[in-house]
Amino acid sequence: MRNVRNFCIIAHIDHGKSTLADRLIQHCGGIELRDFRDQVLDSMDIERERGITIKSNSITLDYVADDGESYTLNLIDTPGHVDFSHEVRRSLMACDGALIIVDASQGVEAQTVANLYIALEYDLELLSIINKIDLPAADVERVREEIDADLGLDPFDAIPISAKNGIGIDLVLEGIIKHLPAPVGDPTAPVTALVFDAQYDAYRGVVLSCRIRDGVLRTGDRVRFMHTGREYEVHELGLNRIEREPTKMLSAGDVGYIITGIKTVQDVSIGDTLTVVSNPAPEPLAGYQPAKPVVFSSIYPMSSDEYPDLIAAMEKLSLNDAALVYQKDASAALGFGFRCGFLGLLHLDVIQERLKREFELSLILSAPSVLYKVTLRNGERVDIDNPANWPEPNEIELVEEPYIRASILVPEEHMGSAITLCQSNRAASMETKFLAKGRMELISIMPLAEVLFEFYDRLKSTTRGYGSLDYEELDYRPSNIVKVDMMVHHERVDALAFLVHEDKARPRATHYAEQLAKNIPRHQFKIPVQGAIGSNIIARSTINAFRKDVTAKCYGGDISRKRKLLEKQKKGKDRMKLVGSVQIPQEAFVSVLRTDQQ
Amino acid sequence: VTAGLYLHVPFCSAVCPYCDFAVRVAGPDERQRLVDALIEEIRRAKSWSVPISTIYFGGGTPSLLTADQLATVLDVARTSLPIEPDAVLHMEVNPEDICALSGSTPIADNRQLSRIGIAGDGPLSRKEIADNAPISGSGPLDAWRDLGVKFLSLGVQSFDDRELKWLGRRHTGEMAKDAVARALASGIPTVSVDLIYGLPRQTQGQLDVSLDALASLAPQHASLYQLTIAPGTSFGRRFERGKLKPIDEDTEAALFAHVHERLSAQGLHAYEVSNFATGDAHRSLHNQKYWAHVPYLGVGPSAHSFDGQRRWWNIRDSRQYVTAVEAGDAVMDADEELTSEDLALERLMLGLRTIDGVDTARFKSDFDVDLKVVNKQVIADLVTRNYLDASQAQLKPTRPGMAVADWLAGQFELS
Repeated sequence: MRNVRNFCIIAHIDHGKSTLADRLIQHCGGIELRDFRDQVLDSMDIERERGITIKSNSITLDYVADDGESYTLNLIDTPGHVDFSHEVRRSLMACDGALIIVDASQGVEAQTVANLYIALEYDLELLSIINKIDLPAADVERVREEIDADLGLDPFDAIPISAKNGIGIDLVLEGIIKHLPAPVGDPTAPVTALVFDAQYDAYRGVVLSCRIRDGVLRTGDRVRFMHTGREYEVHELGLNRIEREPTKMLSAGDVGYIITGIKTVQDVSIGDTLTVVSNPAPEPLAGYQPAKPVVFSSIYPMSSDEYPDLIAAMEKLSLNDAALVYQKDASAALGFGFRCGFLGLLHLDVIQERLKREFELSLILSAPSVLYKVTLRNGERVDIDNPANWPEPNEIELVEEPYIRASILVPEEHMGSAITLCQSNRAASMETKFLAKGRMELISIMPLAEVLFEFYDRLKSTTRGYGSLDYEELDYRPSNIVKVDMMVHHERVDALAFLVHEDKARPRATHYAEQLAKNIPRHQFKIPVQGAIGSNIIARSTINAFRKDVTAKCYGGDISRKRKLLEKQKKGKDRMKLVGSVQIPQEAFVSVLRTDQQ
Repeated sequence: VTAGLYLHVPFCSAVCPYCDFAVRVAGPDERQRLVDALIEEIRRAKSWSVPISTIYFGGGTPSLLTADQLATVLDVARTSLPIEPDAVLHMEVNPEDICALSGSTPIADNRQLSRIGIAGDGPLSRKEIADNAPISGSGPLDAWRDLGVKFLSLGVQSFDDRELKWLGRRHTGEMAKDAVARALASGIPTVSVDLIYGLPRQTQGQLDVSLDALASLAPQHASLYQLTIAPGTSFGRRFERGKLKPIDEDTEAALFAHVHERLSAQGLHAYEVSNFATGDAHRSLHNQKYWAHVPYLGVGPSAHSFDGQRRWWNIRDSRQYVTAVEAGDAVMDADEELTSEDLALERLMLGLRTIDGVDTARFKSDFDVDLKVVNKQVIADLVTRNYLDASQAQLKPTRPGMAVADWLAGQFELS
């Protein structure tokens, strides 16, 4: 155990986390140079493209140090986004130390500070790395000062490197050996193993990633998830190298994989503790929090004949995404689909992207919603995340909505605009803190629902990309929430209904009405597009009747072209959704709903 | 059933910014090579068997060819193709080509030509413009009349100088009036004035400048096209860059109605969406072939042909076309075999553009679909809304129906 190091890498986005991970893997011979694919740990296309890591992964490396001894290094990758804070926390729990990367030209960034706090919560030993020292704008001395001042770490331990060019990688490895602690644990105690990740493998079923705290786990052991109580037999265990490498046992301090024949990740509670049934531990490991969805949206296929494909895709995605919850849903306007729960907006975005790219589906998503707690006049309490289930206003005694404690880190000069942004998003209270030279934290108690609509984009744009947002759910507070229906030619379009604070109902309904009016083609009659709370119209737009639709010139050369155009229009008509007597094209739904997602 | 013969002359003294036809600026040598190529293509078309009752010189600017060149092409066509002795000859001309030879001077100069953006060889020199002077002698109108032209279509586009400038035309309103007057006096039986309307921000009052001139000149025929901003044109590129905002739909519709009402009041009756004549005798017999869905043979670059089942079209680029002909290669760019459904849809959409409408009996005998039975409810609905007149054997668009003829064609079930 003395020769094991379990660590992760903490970095602001683009500061070079994946590149450093790749270099460490390469340096330790974890992969042949000719097989080397940049950014090995990020397996999904979306992760590569956005430069973010979504699923945790770990890899075991062998390293012979300058002291002549052989070490086992377990590098545990962590997601870098607020939606996945549960996963970050679980991954950090599996580590004993962390490398904290600072960009030599950009210095300490807000997210670095935020993640540092989390790492400190878990008592991780930290080693700072100054990356990108080869850049012309690199200022290593200034960054050392920031590491001292902003992060409170010893600036003289900081290791200057260029991960991209492979400079200083050996120093990092030696630093890991010298500065990061070996795991502590009792191999003779009953087994406790932290499950920090689960991946679905088409041939083996679910593969768990575990950190063994105490005891020794062997193939054939019968294990129990201490929170859910489910029991399984260990079919295989071993180390996560580039390929899985089976071993006979995993003992205290080890990080590895376990295969138990679980069929879907929905059956696994990430963060749960595994113990051996024959000699169980008395208590599970501390810090378990089940992931729960906080953002809800309905997903419909653009064309109803894609529904069977959507069913298959959702089943496949959920095999590997325990946080994704969904159930069947039907809309009069959009047909069959799924009501889904997500960890946050990014999670929703990732799922949408994967459905689009991996399964080639075209989708329409309803406006995201949070979970409201509604007390009815008759005393009954109901949880509602879907406008379709919203009670009649006269039945409602009280509505409560989830509030968050948002932590926004911004450079000092952008604090004003961050405050204005929070104010316009119903912040209940705000508090500011100076962190270090020019950096401030704004703590805003505000409704989660407000963060769902364009908040993050606006924060980014008003702070020139420097603002970062992290949040934790706080509590539920009474609120004046209303359901807004959108009506096209006096027919309610169920998929367009949304739940919103009364103060925001009119501007959003107006925006919806304008977008719809712009994207629904003219008909032979005038079409009112309205937003309404109950029978009270709060927004209105009009689509004029068309009066002219004819090509000016139609001669020999144009006839084929014009016929094809007409055929295309006829086909397009089949793909439109008929609401009452109005044909609504997909673009009209997308124009309204997409705006909200971005 | 008789067919039409279309001959494409792809040359212009400059390319107008709205034009998406196959046109280019070229000198006398290239024009002669094109004439030779047209002749060769006509000779190759010997297998065409449908009698031809109309001939149409279109472009481009056919008035850029000399009377001798036009006559040679016609002679070869008459000997090689089944052209009826009394076939009606149509021709498109530009006003400045009449004025230039009548003593007026075209306003085109290098600066203007290059501003408009000429495709092909770049701006013409003054000498080249002078060389453009097509027909010498007693005047082009007499020459064309003697050639047998019965329908002369003048590309006036507008009688308003500001609009003409914006449209990149090389004549003024006065020149256009002079040209129309001369054409009317020439003895050619039908003179058509072609106008473009629906320019961005155009008001009814502005349009009336041209409609007033039209009324006072009183030609036998007029074609009024709404400006179409086509991709690949100078206007199209301006539109893509957000530099050109098309007229809004409501104003365009109002102008359309205004044009139809005004022209009707002055005795020019719409027989198609964009075409008006003082009487049936002055309709464009050639263009009616397209809307009647009968065969036509197209000769020249980009020209389309149709034999009732199949449509094919020539290489669009005129230099490539000429090169192919000279090398003895085929000039066809592509073709399309039309299914019965394709043909039925075309018949419907073309018929609904014209005042004569869709002949349901002919439709039934050709496609075995009784429109009035299959679309009983649709027709009843369209009649109630005053888009359609179904009181006779034909389905005829009303005036509001003509304004939405494309949409109208999409409402019918064809099987």
